[in-house]
Amino acid sequence: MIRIAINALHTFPSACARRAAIAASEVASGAVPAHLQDGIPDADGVLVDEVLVDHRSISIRTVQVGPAREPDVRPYFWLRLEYDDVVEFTGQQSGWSYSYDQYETPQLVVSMDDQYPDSEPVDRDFIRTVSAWAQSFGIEQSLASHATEAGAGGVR
Amino acid sequence: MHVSDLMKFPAACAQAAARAVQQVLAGKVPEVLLPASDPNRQYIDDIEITGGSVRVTAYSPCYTWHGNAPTCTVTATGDTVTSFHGLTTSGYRYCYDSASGRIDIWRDGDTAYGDLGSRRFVPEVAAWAQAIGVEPSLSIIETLQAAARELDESKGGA
Repeated sequence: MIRIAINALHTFPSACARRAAIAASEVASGAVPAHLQDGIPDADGVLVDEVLVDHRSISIRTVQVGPAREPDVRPYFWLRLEYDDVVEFTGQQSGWSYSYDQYETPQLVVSMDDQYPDSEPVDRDFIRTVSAWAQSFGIEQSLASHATEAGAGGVR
Repeated sequence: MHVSDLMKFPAACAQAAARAVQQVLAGKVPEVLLPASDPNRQYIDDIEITGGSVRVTAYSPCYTWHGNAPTCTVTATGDTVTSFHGLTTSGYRYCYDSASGRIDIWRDGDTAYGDLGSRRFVPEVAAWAQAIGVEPSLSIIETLQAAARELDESKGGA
């Protein structure tokens, strides 16, 4: 089983993931992430909107907000850590949904986001960037992800 | 009700949970997140922070005679307690929510209402509620009345 340290998410191609990684480190060091206290997003529009801590795990949810963003298209990232290791994460970004669950199927699964509105442009580079990220950390990708990646050039 | 008011509630888990909420409000994640080896010490089991709301659950590492662990869950929005509920070591369950503004107490596993039989915990809760303007439930009032009658009878018999 691959061990994914929280630092790995600092290079994940999503501002929400990077903010979640920072927030997780803050919580692990005993600090409540700042944007939960004042309720406003930081400069790049990412808000930490949920933190759960128990004796075994830390869960963080971040969301990218902005005046032009409808709730349906807001990128988000949800992360669960157990004893400093990333065991689960899920998110949506630029027309894509992705997930990873170390216990269920330790693979990165990426698919087209069914809820993404046709009026919003899909970031075709995202799946290639996330694929490269997964490869650099030795994380296996699902067959569906590979097929999606292969077909990404022609989407929408 | 403010979180600081809950610090005076006569149940150790409620005080521990309130203390943890205060820490979160001050920007610190409470350190104690594991069952303590000390059977007299309460521990924080989980914390949930969502926007302006904080929910903390504390447990005591011992058991009531019903086999349940004493506990308390507090939910606060900012410095205002929106609800709390729990179980004492002596086997009394308690519940408060800001919508009703009332605190209720009952014996764990007991459906009967009226005098709860407590001559210490319930009167302490009644005094706490009165001090901060929280409405006591009928069972609390009836317990106080029963305690007062017993006191009168003991004085009369003396």
